[in-house]
Amino acid sequence: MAEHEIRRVAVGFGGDEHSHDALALGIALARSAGARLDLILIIRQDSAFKQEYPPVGSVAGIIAEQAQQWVAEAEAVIPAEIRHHSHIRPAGSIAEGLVSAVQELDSDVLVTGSGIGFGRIMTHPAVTALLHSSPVPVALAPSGYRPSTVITDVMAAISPTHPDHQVTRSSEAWSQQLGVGLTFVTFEDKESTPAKQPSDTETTAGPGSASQAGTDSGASEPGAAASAAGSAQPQPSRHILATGRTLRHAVGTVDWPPGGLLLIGSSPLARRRHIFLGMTAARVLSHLPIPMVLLPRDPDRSDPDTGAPTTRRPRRR
Amino acid sequence: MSEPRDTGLKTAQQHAHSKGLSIGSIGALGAVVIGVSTIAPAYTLSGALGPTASAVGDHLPAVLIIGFLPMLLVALGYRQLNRAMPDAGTTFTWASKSFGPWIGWMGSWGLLAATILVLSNLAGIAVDFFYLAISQITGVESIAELTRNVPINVITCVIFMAAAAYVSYRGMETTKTVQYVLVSFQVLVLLWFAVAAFRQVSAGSAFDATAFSWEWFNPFGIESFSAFSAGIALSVFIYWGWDVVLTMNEESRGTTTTPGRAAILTILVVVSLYTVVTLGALTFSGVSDGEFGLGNPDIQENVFAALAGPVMGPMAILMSLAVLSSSAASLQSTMISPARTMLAMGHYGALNPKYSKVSPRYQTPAYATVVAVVIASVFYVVMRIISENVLWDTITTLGMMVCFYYGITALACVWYFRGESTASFGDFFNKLLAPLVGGILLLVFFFQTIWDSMDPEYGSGSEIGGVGLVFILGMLVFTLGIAAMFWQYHKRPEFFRRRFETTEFPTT
Repeated sequence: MAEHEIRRVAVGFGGDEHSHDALALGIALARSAGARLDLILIIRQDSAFKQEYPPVGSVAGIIAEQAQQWVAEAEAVIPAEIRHHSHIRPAGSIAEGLVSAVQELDSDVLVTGSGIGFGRIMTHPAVTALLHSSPVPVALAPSGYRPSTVITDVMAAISPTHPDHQVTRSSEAWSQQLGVGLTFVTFEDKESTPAKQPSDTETTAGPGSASQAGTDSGASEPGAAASAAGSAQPQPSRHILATGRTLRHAVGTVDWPPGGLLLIGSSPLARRRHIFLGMTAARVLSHLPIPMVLLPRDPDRSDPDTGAPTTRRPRRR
Repeated sequence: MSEPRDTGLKTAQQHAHSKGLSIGSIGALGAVVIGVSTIAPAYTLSGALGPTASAVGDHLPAVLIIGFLPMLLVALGYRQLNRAMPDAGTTFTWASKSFGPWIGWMGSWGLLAATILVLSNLAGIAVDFFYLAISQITGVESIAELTRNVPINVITCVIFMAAAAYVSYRGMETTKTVQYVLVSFQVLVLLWFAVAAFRQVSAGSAFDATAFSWEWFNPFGIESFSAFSAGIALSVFIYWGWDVVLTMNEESRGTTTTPGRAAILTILVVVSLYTVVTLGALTFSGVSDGEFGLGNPDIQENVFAALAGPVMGPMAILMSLAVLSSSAASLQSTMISPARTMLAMGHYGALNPKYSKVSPRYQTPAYATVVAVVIASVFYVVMRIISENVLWDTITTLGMMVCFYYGITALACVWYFRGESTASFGDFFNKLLAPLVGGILLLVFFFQTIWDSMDPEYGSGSEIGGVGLVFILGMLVFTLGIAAMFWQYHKRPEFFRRRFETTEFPTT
């Protein structure tokens, strides 16, 4: 599974507080994976079609100088044992610059800040753009993430209809490389599943007890699929069924480990090898207290339907 | 075990000097579009045509053509300085380098004052057209009158400015497409206006059909030098911003067009557009002080608001939209100018270091932007309350300020290059002769305007205690500037004591 290996972690850095969250997650990831860290600061260039009136000079030089200061601040935070490079480069937009930088640097994951975890979705336009265009997985750091965090859990959001999804394989590779346990999470909300049978799953995973109950009851199916896919896997995987009235409640029922990462797939709208934040992912993201890693659409799969994790339809027994 | 930073940093610095333009991406048409967009023709004409007509009467076309010359001469010097010291501070950097920190500081103050003035004027024009457009769309005429209600006008204006400041703080992109659409729309509507005016004249339905006369193009027919210099100062404002085409072309190497061709094309487009529209307005309205005459003080500060209806009929809504879009776009790009100048001054230690703070989120000068919008808003509110003809008075003062700082910039060019200006004929012309003549002319017009503006009858006729309001405004700006400079000298004497240093490049 060399294609899923994390060797180079890129951090999109800008000097603001969310960038420090991103840096913290980048450090945690690079340390756990033994990967190299690339700090990328994009200086936004004016378009020639946006001339100020009346004309004044370019401030790019002053901003470049300021950018060096920000990079120096960031470098001071990076522990000595992590190999790292810093890159300051100009681009038309932050997202555009980051995408071309990660392509050039051959990064395996791009970390950005986001301010997620407080019921908000990303507020920075560059992050929004990346979540709909990045060619590599994008990891979103929640506010206040600590660089000393040790990655303890890889979690994967999967839909029961496509258990052998790319997310399954990527998450197995990640958990193997990081040497941590793997947990599959299936989200289910009552609102978007109108044709449900009320008696069925509610009993197994009511709000509050969802995490534990889910682990026991749901461990069989996708877990079996997973172990069939990667038989060399040392860590046993668990499965959580997160149920709630809304996705927000569903997310709230899970006892997210502070050292966890949630991997999630792209929407079927994504171009191949690019990411595109799906509806479910966006709603999960806005309430998630741990980092989320959005994976690009699988290049290998021809089935266009294996996109974002859909909310789970109640099983009939 | 941090490894050395890659060369990306170097690239960033190189780009810092190339104004961030992707080299080779702009052709002649693109350059013309950019040039026309920076002068915002629909807005400038609406704001400045009336005051200019009141100064020079029907010699308007002559002044518009002649007024271009000092501007062009200065722009040639501007371009040389921009090659030698490409820097955010422009006038501030260049004048400080040539004449020392004191003159640099005052030159920069002139530029700041001009940008603040144009901000308030733009927002004022936008407010007029905002209510006019709504009234034209809804058919309720009383809505157009709301702009005369001082509290409503002031509140709307402040909201516009705050919105523009927010957009400029966020650093949103204006795309090529948007710019092409905005510019073509403006040019089409202005041409439509001119053609409609000519047709009404030939159909005999014009307000005051005035036969075309070659005498209009004769600058020597203008009654006095005072009137002439007032007209030139205003036309300098009308063309203000155009020179970006010259400095921009420095970077657009690799295009199929020679840089010169794009600049000449822009000049031709701009001057002919202005001449055609002016001729249309003149033949239709004449310069009398009748209802729609260009000499009527009631319509002069915003002529298109008054003339578009009679000239274009129901299609006048297009003119409202053209001026509105033009001033809205300019409002946003004008917000950048003072903020960047203050950023540069803060960076060089000529202002509080707070001004040099760049928002990490959007990489824009956040603090300076807020200061600029607050000053512009306060200025507008005070002016709107004390003067009935606030737009007119600000335009006249604005022309004066532009003459001042362009004049200083041009002379800075002459002095900076004094050692190398005799190397070749090109150097002699571009680095000495053109900026020297242009700079002296602009400063002459500046002093003449100051002198004349003491007359309470000057410009719009606003006065305080028997002294023209324009003169008071001008003096206030300079007094405040000198006071602020001494305050900075008190707080930050190092800037004024040490030799001013900036990155310089050879230009020969």
